[in-house]
Amino acid sequence: MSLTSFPFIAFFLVSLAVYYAVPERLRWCALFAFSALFMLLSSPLLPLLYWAAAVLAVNFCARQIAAGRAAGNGRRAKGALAAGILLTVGLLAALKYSGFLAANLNALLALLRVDYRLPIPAPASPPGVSFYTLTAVGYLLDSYWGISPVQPNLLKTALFIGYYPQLISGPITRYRQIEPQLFTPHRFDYVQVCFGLQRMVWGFFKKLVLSARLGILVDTIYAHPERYTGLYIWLAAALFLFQLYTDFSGCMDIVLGASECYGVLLPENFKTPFFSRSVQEYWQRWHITLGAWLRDYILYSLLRSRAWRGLTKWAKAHLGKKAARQLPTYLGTLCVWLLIGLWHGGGWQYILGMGLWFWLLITLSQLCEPLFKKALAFLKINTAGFAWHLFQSLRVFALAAVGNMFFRLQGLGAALETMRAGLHWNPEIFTDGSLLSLGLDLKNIWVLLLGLVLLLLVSWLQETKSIRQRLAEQPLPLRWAILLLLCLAVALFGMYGPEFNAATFIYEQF
Amino acid sequence: MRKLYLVRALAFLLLLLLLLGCLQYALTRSIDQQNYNWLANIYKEPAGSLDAVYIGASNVYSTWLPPVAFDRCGITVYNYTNSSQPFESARFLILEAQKRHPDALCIIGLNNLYDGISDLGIHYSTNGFRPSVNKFHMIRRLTGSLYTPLESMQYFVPFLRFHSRWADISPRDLVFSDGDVKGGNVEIKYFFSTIQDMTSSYSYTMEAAEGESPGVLLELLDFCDREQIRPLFVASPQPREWDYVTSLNRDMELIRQRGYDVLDMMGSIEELGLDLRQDFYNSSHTNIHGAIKVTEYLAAWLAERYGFSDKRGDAAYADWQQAFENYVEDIAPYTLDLEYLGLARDFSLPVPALAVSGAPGAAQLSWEPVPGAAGYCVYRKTGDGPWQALASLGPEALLYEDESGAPGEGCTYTLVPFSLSSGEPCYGNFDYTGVPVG
Repeated sequence: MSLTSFPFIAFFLVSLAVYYAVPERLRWCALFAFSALFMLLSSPLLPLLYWAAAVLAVNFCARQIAAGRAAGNGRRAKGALAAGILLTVGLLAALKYSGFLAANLNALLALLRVDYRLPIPAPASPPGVSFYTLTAVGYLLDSYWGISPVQPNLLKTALFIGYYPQLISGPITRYRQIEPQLFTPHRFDYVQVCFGLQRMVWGFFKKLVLSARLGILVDTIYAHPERYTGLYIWLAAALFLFQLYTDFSGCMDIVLGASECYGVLLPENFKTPFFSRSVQEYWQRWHITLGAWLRDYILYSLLRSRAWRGLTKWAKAHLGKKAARQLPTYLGTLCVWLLIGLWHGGGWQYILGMGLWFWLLITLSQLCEPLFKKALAFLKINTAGFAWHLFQSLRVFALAAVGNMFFRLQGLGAALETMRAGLHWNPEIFTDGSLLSLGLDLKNIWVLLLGLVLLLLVSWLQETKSIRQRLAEQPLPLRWAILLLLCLAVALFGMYGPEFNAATFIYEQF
Repeated sequence: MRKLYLVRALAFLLLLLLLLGCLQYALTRSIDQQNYNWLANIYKEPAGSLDAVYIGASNVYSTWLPPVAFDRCGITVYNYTNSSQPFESARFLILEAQKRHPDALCIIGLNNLYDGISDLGIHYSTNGFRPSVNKFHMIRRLTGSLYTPLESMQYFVPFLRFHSRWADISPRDLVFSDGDVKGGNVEIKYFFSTIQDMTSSYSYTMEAAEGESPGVLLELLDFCDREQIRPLFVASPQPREWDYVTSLNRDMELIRQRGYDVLDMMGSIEELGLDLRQDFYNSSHTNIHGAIKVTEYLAAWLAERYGFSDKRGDAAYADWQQAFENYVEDIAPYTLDLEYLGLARDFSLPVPALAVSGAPGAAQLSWEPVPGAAGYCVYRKTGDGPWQALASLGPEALLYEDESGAPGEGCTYTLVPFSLSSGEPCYGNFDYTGVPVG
C-alpha cells in the first residue's frame, strides 16, 4: 500500500480513530492489529511468512541471549546472537542478493569458459525487508551487549519489527529508544496529533507536488540519453538528487507524522542535507538512521575486533604511528561504505556509485585536509563567510548528484555511457525553450520552481528551530491561512488520483 | 479546553472542505460540468415531471436534444447520459431515476453495448450521483475488475480526478452556470461543428451475428424482469461496420424475444432524412444537423407510441419552453433557422452547387438549377456568427449579388432550395459548411 494512496489515508484515519477509542492499555494491541492488517494488504502471503519467520527467530534468540546472560553462560548468548543474525541476514541475503550472486557467479563461469550457468532466482520479498532486518540485528546486538532490554512477548516483538508506519521505508529504530513509546499507554494529545498531521501534509507536498514533477523531467531525460546530451544530463543529475530527497524525506515526513499522531516519536532520518559543507556531513544528515546503524554496529564492531587491533599493531610497527591511526579506520569505513552500497541493491552500480564513490570522496578529503587548509590560508579565503559556505554546499550537492547517477541509471555501463554523453556543451537549452519539451509545461515548471524555493526556505528555517513550533507561535488566522494554503496546494497541484500514476516510492524497493 | 480544541478542529475542517468544494466547482466546469449536470440535474426537476429519461453514452446526448423535442411535440425526455457511459451502469441509473420520477419511461441506448468500462466513464457516470447505497453499488460494480474495494472509494471524491485540470481554470469557471437547457448538449461543441462524410463506412444489413449476447445485456434484462421495469431499447442511427451492425441485430432480437420494446433506427437513415455526407460527426455520433432530424423523428414516435401529453403552453412547463429558447442561442451559430425552428423539409432536393466570387461587400453567387426546386433561400454568416437569411428567390434565379456584407470581414454563403406543399415552402438539403469569400 503506497503511503500517498487514498487507501493509505483512509487506513491511517480509521486506525487512528480506533487507536484512541480502545482503552489505553490496549493501544499497542491496536497498533499491532493494524500493522498486521497493513502487511496483509501490502504483500502476498508467502513473503509475509519470511517476515513471520524473522520475528519468531528474533524473539526466540533474544530470549536465549537474555537467558544466557542471566545464567552467565556467554557461549549460549553468543550462539543465540549468531543464530539470530544468521537467520535474519540469511533471509535478507537469500531474498535480495541471491540473484546478484548468481549473476556474478555466471559471469565468472563464463570468464573461466565453464559451460554451466546457474539459474537466476528472483524471490518475492516482504515489504521493507532491508529496513526491518537492520532493526532486528541491532536489537539482537543491543540485547547481547546488555544495553537494551529483551522483549519476551512475541506480539510486542512483532510490533517492534513490523510497526507499520516505519515498515516500508524506515527509519531504522533501536529497541531501547522506541520500546517506552510503543508500549506505554498514550493519552490523546491534540497538539501532538495536529503536529503529526501537519508533518504528513508537508510530506505529501514534497512527494506529490515536487518529487512527482521532478520524476517526469528526470525520466524523460534518462529514457533517451542519446537525444538529451550535454547539460541535459547534468540537469537530470541535479534534479534526480532533488527528486530522491523530496521522495525519501517526504515519505519520512508522512511516516514520522503518522507515528507522531499515535504518540510514537520515531528518530529523524534527514536534517537539511543540502546545507552540508562536506560529503561526510552530508551523510550525517542524509538517511541518518542507516549511517548511525552502520557506524554503531559495523564500524565500531570492526574497530574493536581482534583482527583490526592486530592490523593496527602491524601498521604501527611497519608503517608508523600516523598510518596505524589511518589505515584501520579507512579500511573499516571502506567496509561500511561497501555495505551501504550493497544495502541499496544487488548491483555493482550501487556498490560503486553509492558505496565506493562516497568512501573515496570522504577518504580523499580527510587525507588532503592539511593541503586544503594551506591552500585556503595562502589564498586568504574567508571560510567563515556565507559565500564559502554556499560554495561548499554546492560542491557537496554536485558530488552527491554524480554519485546518485549510479543509483538512478540501471547498470554501471549505462551510468558511464550517460556521463560520457554529458561531455557536450549546449547551454542554449536553458534559453531556447527546450526544457519545455521534457514533459512539464510552463505552468507546471513554475509550480516546481516555487515549490523548491519553499522547500529550501523551510529547510533554512528548520536549521535553527522546528518549523511547526514556529508556526504554532503565529496568530491563529495566519497559522490557518498557511496550513489551508498548504493543504490546497497538495490537493490541487499534487500528482495523484486516476489521471496520474503517482511515482512509487524510490526506496520502497529496499 | 478539550471542547475548544474540538470546535477549532471542526472549524478548520469545514473551512478546508468549503475551499475544496469551490475548487471542485471551478475544476469541473465546461465539459466535466456538462457531464456532471446530465446526471445531477435530474434531481432538480420537479418530482414526476419527466415523461422519460434517455440513458446512454455520448451517442445519446449527441443525438437527442430535449429542448428541441419539447418544442416539436411538448414531451419532457431528459438526457440521463454522460461521455463513455458504461452499459453496466444502466440498471443503477434506472433505480436512481425512479427515486424522483417513478413513472418516467426509461429509454436505454444500445449503441454503447460493446464499449466496455473506462476510467473516464466511471467518473462521469458516478460524479453526478448523490451519495446513496445505489451509488455505492454502482461504483463497486463498475470498478470491480479495476480496483480493490478500498481503492474504488476514490470515485466518491470527484476532486481526485479533476484536480489535474488546475492549469485550465479561468475566471469563467467560477461563474454559475448558463441558462438551463434541460439536458441538451451545449459544451461539447465538436458535435455541433464537425461534419464528416460517412458514405464509405455505411454497411447496413438485416443479418444477425452468431454467438452469445453480451453478459451485461442479459444481466440488465434479468434485472428488468425482476424489478418489473419496462424500458424501451433504442438503437440510434450510426453508419457502423458490418460486425457491429450484425451484433446489434442479434441483441435487439434477443431483447424483443424477452418481451421488451425496441426501436431500431440503424436502418432508418433515409426515413429520418439523414444525409450520410453531412449529418454525422463520425461513425458513432450525429452532428447537430443529424441530431435535429433524429430528435424530430424520435420525439414524434415517442409521443404517439406512449401517448405522452403535449405540455407546450402549460405554465408548469414554462421552463422547458425557456430551455428551448436558451438552446437556440447555443446552436444558432451552427445551424440555419429553418432547422432549429422545425420548418417543413423536403429531403428529395439535393445540395445545390454554389459558387461564390468577388469579395465581402461585393460577392457574386451563382448556382446550377436544382431539379424540383420552387425557389432558393440565400443565407450568409459572418465569422463565427449565426446564419442570416438574405433573400428568398424564385426558381428561375441562378445568380445573386450581395453588397450588404462589410468589406474586409470574411463571410460564408449557403443556398437552400425549397419546394412548395400547399403553398408552404419545404426546405431541401444544403451545404452546412457553406462557401467562404474574402
